[in-house]
Amino acid sequence: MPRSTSLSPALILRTLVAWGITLLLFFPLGWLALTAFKTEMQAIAVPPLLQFSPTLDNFREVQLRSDYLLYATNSIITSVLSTLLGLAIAAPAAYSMAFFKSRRTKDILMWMLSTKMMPAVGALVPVYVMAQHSGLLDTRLGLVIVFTLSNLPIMVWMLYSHFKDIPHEILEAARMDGATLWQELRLVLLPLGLGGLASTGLLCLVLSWNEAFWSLNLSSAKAGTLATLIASYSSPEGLFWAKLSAASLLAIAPIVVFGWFSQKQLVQGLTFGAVK
Amino acid sequence: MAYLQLHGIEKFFGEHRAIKGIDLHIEQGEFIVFVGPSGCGKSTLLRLIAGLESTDGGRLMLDGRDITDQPSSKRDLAMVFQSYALYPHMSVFENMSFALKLAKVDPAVIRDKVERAARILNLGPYLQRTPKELSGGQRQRVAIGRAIVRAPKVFLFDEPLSNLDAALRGQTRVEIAKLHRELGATTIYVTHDQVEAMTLADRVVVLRDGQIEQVGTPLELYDRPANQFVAQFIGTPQMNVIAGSQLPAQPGWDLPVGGFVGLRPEHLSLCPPAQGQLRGRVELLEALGAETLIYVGTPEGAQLVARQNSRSSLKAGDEVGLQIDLEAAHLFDAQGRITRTGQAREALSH
Repeated sequence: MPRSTSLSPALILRTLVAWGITLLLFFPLGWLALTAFKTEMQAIAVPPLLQFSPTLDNFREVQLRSDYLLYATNSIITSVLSTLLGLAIAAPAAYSMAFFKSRRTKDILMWMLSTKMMPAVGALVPVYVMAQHSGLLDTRLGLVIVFTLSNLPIMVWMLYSHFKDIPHEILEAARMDGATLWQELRLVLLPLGLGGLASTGLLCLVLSWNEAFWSLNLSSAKAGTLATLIASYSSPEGLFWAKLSAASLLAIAPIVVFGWFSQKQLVQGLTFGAVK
Repeated sequence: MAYLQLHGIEKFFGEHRAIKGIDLHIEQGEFIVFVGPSGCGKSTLLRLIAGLESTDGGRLMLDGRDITDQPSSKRDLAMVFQSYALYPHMSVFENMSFALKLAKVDPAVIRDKVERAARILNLGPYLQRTPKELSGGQRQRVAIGRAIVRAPKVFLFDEPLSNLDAALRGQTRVEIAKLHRELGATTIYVTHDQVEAMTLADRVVVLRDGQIEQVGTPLELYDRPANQFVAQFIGTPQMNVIAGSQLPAQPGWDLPVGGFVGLRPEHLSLCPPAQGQLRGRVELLEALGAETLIYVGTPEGAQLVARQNSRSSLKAGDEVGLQIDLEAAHLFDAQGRITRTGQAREALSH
């Protein structure tokens, strides 16, 4: 006999609300995707068109007008490098804070977080001047350094809370088993912390990818990222909705695909539990 | 020369002096138990020997070699942790072979050693499982197996049984004792459970506040405690300790002013109220089958436990007399130092 699921009013309501929120969140993205395949006339048509013959002209236009591939390459290079560099700095910091806690560890963590509380614009002038004097304006290296530094507090915090969940006796057991520091890190901490490293890395990749403030202010034609490309489509002559949508879609596509494939790591990173 | 020597070991945590100049010599093959109340420093002392904490003074010598400044990985010691600390991402086989693999032992030899240890510990069928898929008792055995395969110089156990239920604890205790007899390995075992200490140890080290109170065989500690703390820590139920003023003066006792009298429960026997040196009222009876524990309160306010090897028809509230085995009584001064060691009848008989 098939199990009869009772459709209680609460369940129906919950389902409706969940669908409603999901659609609401998805709507701008869906609309963006639709608009990207319309002509400029169709894009501003009132009432909005839902049926139309899709065109790829906008994408062609975006590549012709502003060299999408250059911006995409810049985005990939800056976000990947700043994530790797950030992990290389944050992982040892989080390791020592989680496993060799001192009396000031909590204060250091709070201090790191407090640096995120100042609005970025407050540091704009000094950072700009420093970048100018060291020849890092409109260079990928300059952006990598700034992205890394601005993500570092979050990375240390995330890794710290992941590492804290790893019972320190396991690392001590490895030490007793004769593991050197390097072996302890590679054979025990890395496999156990992989979920945390992956989710931290992924988050920072997304943050760097989406970063607009610093890339708009510190870069332009040479090192500009996709965020600067999109910004260039809002011009004094007005907005070109279809081209703007196409550029935006191109800008978010790589990170969406990446996020889709790393879902498993993300979930693992969030559910890693105790061993006992 | 002793196998493992501790010379004036010191440890500070901030301002707190956790270990206060410990001197101890341990012979090869000995089973040593560190016992004491929580916070006495027994686990810290073990971790200092393991190299998981750094010493703030003193020297550690193992097999003629100074290991004070050596990292854990170079000391050739194996440790079984309270939480087992198995590598959750490795199978039982990988857990047990990890140390040998790091030491670059030949894979065939590793397989052989792990399989032998698995046979001893009945882990054969579980070698391919991960720790997650094992019960608490099995995880404990894997942790022990991980130590055995290495054949280290010294085994260190940090309260290994405290996460097991009572039945399994008793069983594993027997297994550890058997294992020690078979392997003859030098072992240091930390516990707060004095029954474990008494049943496993060749010698027991009683610690309090980072200091050694007494070192001796289990029966030495039981029969000839160095002070009131050891006397009361070893033995269940605890030794009865009564202020000298609550007892009528006894011939031949030279009880210091403010001193105490210590009596094991088996050295008190019940008698009709008019006889005996003390009288009191039964407050509680614990009939354990083979023996009965009788809790008696005296009018002077002393609380005493008597043990008798027979069943009792007494009930709570009954008036009783207490006969003291005067020969067996220990006397302590006001600071708890022993001034007279009682002669237990068992000890006198041979």
